[in-house]
Amino acid sequence: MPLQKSLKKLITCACLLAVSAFSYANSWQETLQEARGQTVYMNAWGGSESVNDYLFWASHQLKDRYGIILRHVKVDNISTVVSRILAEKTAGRDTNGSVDLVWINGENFRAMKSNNLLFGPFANDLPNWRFIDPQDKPTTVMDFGEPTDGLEAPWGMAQLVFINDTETVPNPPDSVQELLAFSQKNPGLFTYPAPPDFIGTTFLKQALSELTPHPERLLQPVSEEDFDQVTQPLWNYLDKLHPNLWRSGRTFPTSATTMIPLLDDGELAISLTFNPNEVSAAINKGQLPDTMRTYVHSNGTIGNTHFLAIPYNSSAKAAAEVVINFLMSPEAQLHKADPKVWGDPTVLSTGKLDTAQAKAFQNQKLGIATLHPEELGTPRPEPDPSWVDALEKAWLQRYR
Amino acid sequence: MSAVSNHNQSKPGYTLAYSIALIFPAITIAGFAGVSLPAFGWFPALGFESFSLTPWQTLMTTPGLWEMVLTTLFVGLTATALSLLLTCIFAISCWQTRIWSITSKALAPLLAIPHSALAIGVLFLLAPSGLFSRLLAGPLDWARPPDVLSVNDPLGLSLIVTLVLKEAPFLCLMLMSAVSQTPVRRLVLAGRSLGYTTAQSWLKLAWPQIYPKIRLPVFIVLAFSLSVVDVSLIIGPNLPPLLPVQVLFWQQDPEASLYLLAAAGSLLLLGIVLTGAGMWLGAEAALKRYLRTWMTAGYRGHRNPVLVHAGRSTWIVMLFMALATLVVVSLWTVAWRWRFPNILPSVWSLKSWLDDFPRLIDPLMTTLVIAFASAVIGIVLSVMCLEFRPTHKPWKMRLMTAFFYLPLLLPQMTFLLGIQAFLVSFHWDGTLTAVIACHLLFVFPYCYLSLAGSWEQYDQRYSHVGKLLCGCPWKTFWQVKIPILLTPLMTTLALGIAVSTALYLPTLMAGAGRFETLTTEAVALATGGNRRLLALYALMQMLIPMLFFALALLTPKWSQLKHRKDSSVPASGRTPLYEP
Repeated sequence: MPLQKSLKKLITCACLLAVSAFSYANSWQETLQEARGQTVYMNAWGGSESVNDYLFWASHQLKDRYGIILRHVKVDNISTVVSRILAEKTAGRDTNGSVDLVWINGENFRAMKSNNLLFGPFANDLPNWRFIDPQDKPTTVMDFGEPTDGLEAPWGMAQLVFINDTETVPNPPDSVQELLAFSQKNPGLFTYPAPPDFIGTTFLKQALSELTPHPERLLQPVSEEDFDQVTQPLWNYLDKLHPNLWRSGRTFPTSATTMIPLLDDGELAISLTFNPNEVSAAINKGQLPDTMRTYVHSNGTIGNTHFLAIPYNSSAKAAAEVVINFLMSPEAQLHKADPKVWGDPTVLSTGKLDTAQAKAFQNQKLGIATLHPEELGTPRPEPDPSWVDALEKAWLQRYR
Repeated sequence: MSAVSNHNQSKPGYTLAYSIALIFPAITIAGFAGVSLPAFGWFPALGFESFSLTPWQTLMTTPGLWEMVLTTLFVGLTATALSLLLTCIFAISCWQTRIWSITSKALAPLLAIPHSALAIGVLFLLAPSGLFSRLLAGPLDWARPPDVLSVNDPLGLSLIVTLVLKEAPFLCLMLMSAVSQTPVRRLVLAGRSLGYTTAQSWLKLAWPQIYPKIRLPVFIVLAFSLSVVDVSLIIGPNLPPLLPVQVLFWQQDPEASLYLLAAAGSLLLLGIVLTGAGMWLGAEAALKRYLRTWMTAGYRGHRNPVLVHAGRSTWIVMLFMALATLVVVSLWTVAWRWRFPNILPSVWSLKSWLDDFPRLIDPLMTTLVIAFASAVIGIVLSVMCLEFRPTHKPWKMRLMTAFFYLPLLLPQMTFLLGIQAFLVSFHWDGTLTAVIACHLLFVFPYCYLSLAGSWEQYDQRYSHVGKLLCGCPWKTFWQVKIPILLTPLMTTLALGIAVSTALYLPTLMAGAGRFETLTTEAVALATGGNRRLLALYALMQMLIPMLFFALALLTPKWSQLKHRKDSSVPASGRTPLYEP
């Protein structure tokens, strides 16, 4: 059966390759034509002003260039969108769905993929796919260990970075163990968002991958037999950490962005974010003092890629493809990487870009608190998505 | 009241009034049906086609469930009791003083502030880095904000403060209208001539007559406080959250089976509201029994100026705090750098107005469209009901009115979840019509409540004269009755807009997340990190209804001016032809 399947895939790929060489330009013209006048409802996390501003900019560009109306439907937690589309599928609403474009990765992508909620494969056929190099950036085709299979297109890179106020913490901790030592010495100055907020969950994954004696086990799906054994060091750690957290761990922030004002007012001295540029952006926007910096643990922090995908029942698939292709373009990616705009690292590989474009990326001035790629180091791989749910459930069970 | 014009008696008129009266309770009850089936495992739209008790078993084993239930009950009952207590204190200590008349003017704009905007203001005041703590930081020498749970506290105390700030003024407004329908002056005079103090006369003579008149609003407040979602998201406990918030989280979870859990949870919420109401009724009965001796024992009381002043001060502090929320929210919109412990921003800037305001225009327009549409439809339906209601059968009228209040007396979360299940099944969710219809569930009763008084007070003789002169009931209605009732109509429009602007859950549930209003955006931003932008949304939320109330207040002046030129028709429905 698997052999048959992969054979089928291979043949399809070969055919596609042969056909695409001829009809590539043509079919994209058709897509552009079909897309004109369509409205794309893009359901994306709306908690960051920089992201919202960037999409606002993109919507203007798309309207001017392609006659597409992009509407950003702001969502707290993207998993709600997955449930909506699933509900639509079970209700038999196979066309004219309420979502045309989603910003996802990890467990949500796996949920959509396994429930056949995604349109495609389409990503590898987009004209701007030529700038993607999976050799250079493996996470652009492997989403939390799940092959993307062209069902989602990479949009940006993310890596967990910690934030420190150099005024109070000139020498930030270098590992989660040191973070515990810091918190025991300075109680109340650190906390993390309550899981299932994804940065809260990422902190759990970071701590687990640093603490467990079997980090390779995290790349396999979670199993009931050894969950307790693998995660015991994490719970021991958190039991010690929590009494020394902000508000003595009796409550947790609801998201990482909530922690920005807490940092600003000196309630916290160490925080964390998944966007290496967020602190620079916040300093620029007057939300943080310029004494804030970011740092990573020398053993690496968890990193991943975030993606764009089209639900199978979208009513504007052509326009959604055009939107994604535009958002993957060197121009849009460069604008996105601008620390004054969003500062989200690009998914494109400089080796695939022409010299002028590559230079533009290299010359882009990083923000005052943004780490250089070499300082960020090699990211730790994301655990298998099945760990997310298991860790969140166990955390809620213990600390709620 | 007794003089009812002829066209009001028509049969189709009754049918119309009845069908309007029935439509909203029918939708509400349908909502309960819609939520009951999924709660027992049956929801074909998501592929669950067999009845089971699994959702209930999962519900009962949810970590922290009983904590959630008890906190929800505690918050709801305490907030309602405190609001009522403050109202009572206000009545006793402020009656026939200047505070009373100032309050009567200040209440409408205060009530126009949406709950969520008020919660954001309270957050800016009470948070550990909030304005109050900054004021204390200097004298107490705090370098960083105190590590205390002054907001989002597990017991929901900050949530209670926010709810009381909003509900006490609402009950006071109801109290004032009850006072105007009760011979309080004569009662208190009688009490005083028998040697009772004013406070004792109020408590023993006036209050027993007034309380039954504000009992319905008290139960509305109770149901609201027990099932509030948006305020709780902003300032309520979050680990664990209150039950209604947890139900919302379940409903939004990607795991489809959690929808069934949400349905079961929302039925539990209904149980909580009913339990809360039962406990309230029990407390009423107990108090009645316990206080009977005290009421009739003949204790005259001592004049206690300290207590009276304390009562007045409590009330003034409350009004001041509501005002302070407006001030602190406005300050944040123009603050560039405002770190703890600065009492005022260290760097001021209009940047957030210049840069962020354009993004606010879309949600603002959506808010206005939904608010205007639902307020206008609400008024039209209310006027139809009032014109055609069966005035000769008071019990039918009362039953009809009671029906209107159904959506206000039951937990929103419960029946909205059911309505959403229907909308999803018929693919009607995410449409403007669905959103406006869901808003109407809440806007309509308030419109009706607000207009009913003026319609009753209207002197039918104007219409009789009109009909004698032109012979046409419709012309009379449009050219005589409507102009006379223009002021209450405009106030009702403002009220309808205020109610709709404040709604969170109906927009969210019926709108499929596609409709961004000022309120849904503000609540979403409350969990974000940008205080300036949050303040901007909260300020707009506060300003929009206030603007319409201001317009409504100006209408009589404007129409008086106009009428003075045209003729001498009195511009207010409140002035009867002759004093009785």
